[in-house]
Amino acid sequence: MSLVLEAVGLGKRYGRRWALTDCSLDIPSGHVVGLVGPNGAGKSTLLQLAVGLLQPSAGSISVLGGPPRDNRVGFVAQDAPTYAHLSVADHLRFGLWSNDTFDVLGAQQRVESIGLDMNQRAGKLSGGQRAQLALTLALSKRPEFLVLDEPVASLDPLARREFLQRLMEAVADQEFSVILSSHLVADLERVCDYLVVLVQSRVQLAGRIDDLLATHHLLVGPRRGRFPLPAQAHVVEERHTDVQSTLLVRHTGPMVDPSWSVETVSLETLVLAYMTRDRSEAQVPRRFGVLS
Amino acid sequence: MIRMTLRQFRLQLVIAAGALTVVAIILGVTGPDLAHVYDTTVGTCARDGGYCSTALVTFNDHDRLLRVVVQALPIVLPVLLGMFWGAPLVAGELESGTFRLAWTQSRSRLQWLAAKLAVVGLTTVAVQGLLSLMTTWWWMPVGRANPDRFSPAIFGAFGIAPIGYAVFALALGVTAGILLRRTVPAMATTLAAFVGVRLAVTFLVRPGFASEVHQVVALDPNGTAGIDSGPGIPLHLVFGNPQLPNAWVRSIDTVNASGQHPTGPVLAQLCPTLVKAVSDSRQTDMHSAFTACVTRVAASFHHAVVYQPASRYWPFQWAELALFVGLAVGMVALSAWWIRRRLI
Repeated sequence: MSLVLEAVGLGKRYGRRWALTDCSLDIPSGHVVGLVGPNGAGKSTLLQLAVGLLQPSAGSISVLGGPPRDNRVGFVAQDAPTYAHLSVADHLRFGLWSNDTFDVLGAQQRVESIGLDMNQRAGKLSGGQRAQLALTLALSKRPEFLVLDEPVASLDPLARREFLQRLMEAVADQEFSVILSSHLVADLERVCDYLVVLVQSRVQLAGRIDDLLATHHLLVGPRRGRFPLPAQAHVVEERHTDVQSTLLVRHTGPMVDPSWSVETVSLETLVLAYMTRDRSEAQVPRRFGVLS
Repeated sequence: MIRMTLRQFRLQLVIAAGALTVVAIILGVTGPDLAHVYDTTVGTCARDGGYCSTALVTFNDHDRLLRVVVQALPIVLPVLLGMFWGAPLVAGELESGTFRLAWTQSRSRLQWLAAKLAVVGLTTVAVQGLLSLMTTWWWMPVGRANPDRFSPAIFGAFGIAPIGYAVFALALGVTAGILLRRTVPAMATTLAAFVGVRLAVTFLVRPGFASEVHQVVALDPNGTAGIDSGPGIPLHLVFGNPQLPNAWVRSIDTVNASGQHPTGPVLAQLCPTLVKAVSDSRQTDMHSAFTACVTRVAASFHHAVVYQPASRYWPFQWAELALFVGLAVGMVALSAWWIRRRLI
């Protein structure tokens, strides 16, 4: 299986501050990958390293099997920067003039189908239209790998849905790999089939969303002292009230235990559990929940 | 990428072309008029070999405000270009984030920078060059009437040196923008650094472009002379400066063979009558004593003049241009290195 992105011990330092430390990550091709993490986790730094805007201070990163800054990679930066004084048509010219391959006809069709006025200045566009224009520029390079840094963070819910809709149409049409970041899993749930949770530079969770949901279970039962769990099960998170305990457990096999009621877990709950988990705890998976 | 820069730079190009056209019209209308005034005042007077100071005053009274503007415009334009074209060129994209768009296309950062510098740099040369051409042409009668083209305010305003200033100011603005990553601080830095470098070159570097000529000029006993004294100033004899039109006179000293000045004991020994008449304030004796003294001093003293001859004007202009273009090349090299190696 080929990798669109491979990071080994990747780190990026600004002066004395490390924005990303010791990040290792493999992302197989053919997925729409959601990169989720709290603000400051290093998502944007990781993506900028992937497109060659930044260079690693430590470790290495390869994209599509080679060094970053590959012409086969499309990128939409955070807040979808465009030239405020230039028209939509000028942006398409920019794409044509500054790329070896640029599907200008496709770009025109896309702009029309979004309903943008070719003569409108980018500065006068709404946030959603600007994001669509930036996406159009990136897609018209006919990329094999599309990198989107917080593409919908600043958009209203309607523009958000419209943007992701267009993205999914393009993915279905052109068949490329995508990675898009957000600090909200709800943004990504609809479109992603692969998830990476990044907390403080460390990958807490990575895998196909189907697999993640199938292997995580929410156990709810009365509060007790010590309790047994299957040998391969890891407690991701535990919560207790006076009478009840709730455990999020990772386990590949079926969870059948009469003393617990087993519930399926939502992706949001799952991601939040990994995001809020203490970092030191994450290093040492536990087999037992210990209650006091 | 050139075409892209032209698109981005369209408004500035239009403004520059418009401003140049306005200047061309004003100078084109007033220039022939000024030349005519010159011909009928200083020009005729010089041809007739008359005493021209009245004609000069009449001529210099003409177009006084316009002269200030014509002299100031090419001096001020370079730093304006540096501040308003140079500083935002890259800093604007760093601020708005569009560099992330531009630097993730197929062209390298250096190609991107080179295209920007080519378009804006050539426009700068054209704008400053055309302005310089027009103002230098317009100024010709003024320069002929007042031959002082080496004085700092004239030297830096006309000829080819201003082109060097403009290229340097632009490179300075671009570099400041790249290093500071913000337009407004880069503009302020450009202004301060440009003024500093211009002053330093004018007063510290330019005098050393060629070693000065030391010349001895005999004193003219029938020329202008006078006495100077006052509270705290010992009585000394002064002679009118030798006429060195368009030369850059660095110093003039009135000395004798031993390097003494016509003052104090030296003067008292040569012209005791004059010194005594002055100290006693006897006006009647003073005049004849002064004439005798001037003749006596002129016989043994001379002017020691240190200067750059007028013929060095164009070599100095070229040297100034080369110096500032060289500084600009250094700035561009720093910019290119910084964009490739530091903005990562």
